[in-house]
Amino acid sequence: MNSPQNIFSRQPQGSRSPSAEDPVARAASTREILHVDLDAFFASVEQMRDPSLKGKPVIVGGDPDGRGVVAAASYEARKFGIHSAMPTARAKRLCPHAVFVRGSHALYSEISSRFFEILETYTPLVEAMSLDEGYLDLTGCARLHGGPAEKTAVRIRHYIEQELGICASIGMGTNKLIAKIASGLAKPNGFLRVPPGEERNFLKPQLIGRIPGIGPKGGEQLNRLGIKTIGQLTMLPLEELEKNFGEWGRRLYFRSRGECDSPVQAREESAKSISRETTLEEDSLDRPYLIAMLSYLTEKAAAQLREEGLYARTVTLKLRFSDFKTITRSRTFKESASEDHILFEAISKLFAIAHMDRIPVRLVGVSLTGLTTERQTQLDLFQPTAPERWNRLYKGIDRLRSKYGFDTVLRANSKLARSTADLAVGRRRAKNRQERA
Amino acid sequence: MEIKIGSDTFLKGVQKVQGVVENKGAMPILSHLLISAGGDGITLMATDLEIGIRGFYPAKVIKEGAVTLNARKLFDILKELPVKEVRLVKEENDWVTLTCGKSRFRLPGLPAADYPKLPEYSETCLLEFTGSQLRDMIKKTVFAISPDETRQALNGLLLEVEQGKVNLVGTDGHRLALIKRPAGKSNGASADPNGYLLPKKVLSELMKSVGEDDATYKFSVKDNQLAFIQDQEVIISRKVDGKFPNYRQVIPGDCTLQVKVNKEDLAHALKRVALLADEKSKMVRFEIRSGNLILISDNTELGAAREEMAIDYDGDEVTIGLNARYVLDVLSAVEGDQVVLNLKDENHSCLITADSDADYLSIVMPMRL
Repeated sequence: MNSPQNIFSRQPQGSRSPSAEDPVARAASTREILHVDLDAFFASVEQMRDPSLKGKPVIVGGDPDGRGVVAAASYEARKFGIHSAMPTARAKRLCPHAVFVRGSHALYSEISSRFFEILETYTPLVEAMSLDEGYLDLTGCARLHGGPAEKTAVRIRHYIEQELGICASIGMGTNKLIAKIASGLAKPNGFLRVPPGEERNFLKPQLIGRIPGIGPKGGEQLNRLGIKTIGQLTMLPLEELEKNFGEWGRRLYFRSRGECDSPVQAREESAKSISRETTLEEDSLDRPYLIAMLSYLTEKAAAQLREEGLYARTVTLKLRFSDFKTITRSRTFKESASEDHILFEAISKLFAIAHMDRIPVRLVGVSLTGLTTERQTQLDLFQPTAPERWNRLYKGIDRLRSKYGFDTVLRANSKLARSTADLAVGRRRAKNRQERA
Repeated sequence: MEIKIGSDTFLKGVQKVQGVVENKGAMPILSHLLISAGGDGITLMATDLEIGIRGFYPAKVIKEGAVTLNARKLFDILKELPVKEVRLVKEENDWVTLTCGKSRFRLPGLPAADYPKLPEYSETCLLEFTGSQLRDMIKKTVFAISPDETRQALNGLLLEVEQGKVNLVGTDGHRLALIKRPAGKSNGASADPNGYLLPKKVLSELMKSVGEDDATYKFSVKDNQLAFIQDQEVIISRKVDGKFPNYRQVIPGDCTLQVKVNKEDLAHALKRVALLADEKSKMVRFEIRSGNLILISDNTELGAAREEMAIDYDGDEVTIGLNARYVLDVLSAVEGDQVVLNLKDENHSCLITADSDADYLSIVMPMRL
């Protein structure tokens, strides 16, 4: 059946042809999916930048005497039990001689884009999962690449190391789930291929925590049921998993069998949301400081929004208090926007009415959703050229920033945040992921 | 105070004034209306301190006096009464007894002396309208004013006198409607060249009380008070502060493309296509081609719609995005079978006119595609 748009000359942008999603069509051929993951990305970049750090435990994150968390740890540091998201203070106790680096996100983004450029020379079907990992769909590329996909994978690894000076690990399998688990096992600096048909045997002895989506909490729940390995998980019937864990349980049932038909979605299929949040150096009740942080985060998010040629319909303010209670407040515009001043006005209004209860704020965040590639701007009778002028202004700001760095031009409000801000503004990009596993 | 009055006359009077009454204000007396009996009738009055309204209705006054009553309750009671004579008696402590046939109501009044006075207004006529003319002019422009109460100047209509004509203009910043009519008997020369801003509430009260008849409405100005006077009824309002934007400079004079289209056909097609337009922007794309107009809404989560209609046009092709609601508002106000869309290009305003009425025009700003 035709979708209703097909009868028209102009197709709405961003609509995928129905066949690309058709699981039946996909199942007909065995897919060849790679998961490429840079090893200890931030730490490796630091070691590359300063070769004297090579072979040493390097920790990227906030001030070890402050309250930041570990953003990345080199493999040398991991031997001491340090892992990302651990408070830096604790990391310092575990490994007092580690080198602590504040991190330079501009450099990470730059290397990340070079990383994806390399991946995209092999196939346009590259799905970025974060700065340092992505999926490639190499199905049917054997002739193009002059050999089977596993040979290509080895070449990709060498090429990345040669070009970026950073090691990558690659997992290969018939779907994203298997590829991801395989790359995790291949680390560091390795390659692991799971041949078609071997998925269940491959998964059987693995611990359940290897399955993406099973975190410490979920793992604990399953452990209590006596389930430690993925093989044990497959013993549970679907009904029981659904009864105990709902939708999540249903997903576990299929994942434990190595089944996943989620397609690799190329980069153009844009993010569903763009958000920026940061844990403050110190919990704060200082409204001018918080608003400054929000202003900076808004500018950061809006800059990415414009870079991707998108407009946001909805802005959301996120506040997490020192008691970990988290609130979000949203506002939806009549017309979607990408301009700092419009987005920030909404955020500051939301902040003004957010109930704070005199509890210090631990984390602030801004997220932009309802993203569209097109927008319809209602022109004003009395200021018909206003949108044009704003457009020119933001184009200019974006140009200056790309040339001289982000902080070259800032809103006055953001200035205060920059004098004290933690550099490690968390960058999170929720991808439009359709997991039908 | 004691009066006898027909329930229908009383209802008509209360209905006309009760619209301005504030039901949830800080001052309880403002939810009341004032009834004063004297001579051969009663005067009903209500105010919200911004605008006031007063009318006189014949009644048999047995004993003169005045009292205030809750406007809403009185109105609700009168609505339910049969068409019969009503007897209204004020007793001690401003309690009021209302009887009609076998029905009897006791209502707590408030002292008439506490009721705010109506501001002074002028009886000197500045402009004169017939009821039907005033009604027509308001109806054809009021839809364009802004609902946004923070933009005071755009929250009402501009009334101005210009070369023997009286203009009424409304705009919300995105669209505009302007109507010109011959000024009747007037002292236009003494009118403020900047015109007068009529608040939205006055307009809605006028629309309620102005009939299709030829009763004469006098418009007068004194200091900050505007008044519309018709015989024994008067609506008084504070002038809206703020400067109305210079609307003359946005009336396009360089529209090179004229698209003639049947009004009813366009309205029906647009209503259908707008069903699938973006809920908020309501944008519909007008693709104007030689001999036909294609209306399209797409690129929304709701689906897509498209409709083609024949038009009398052989100029350049142009595609313009317009808010369907703005266009439909114009189409339902304008008279005649045909409208003309006057365009320059997709970035300039769309001027909507009708051959049947050269003194009425609307402007809709496009949406940038």
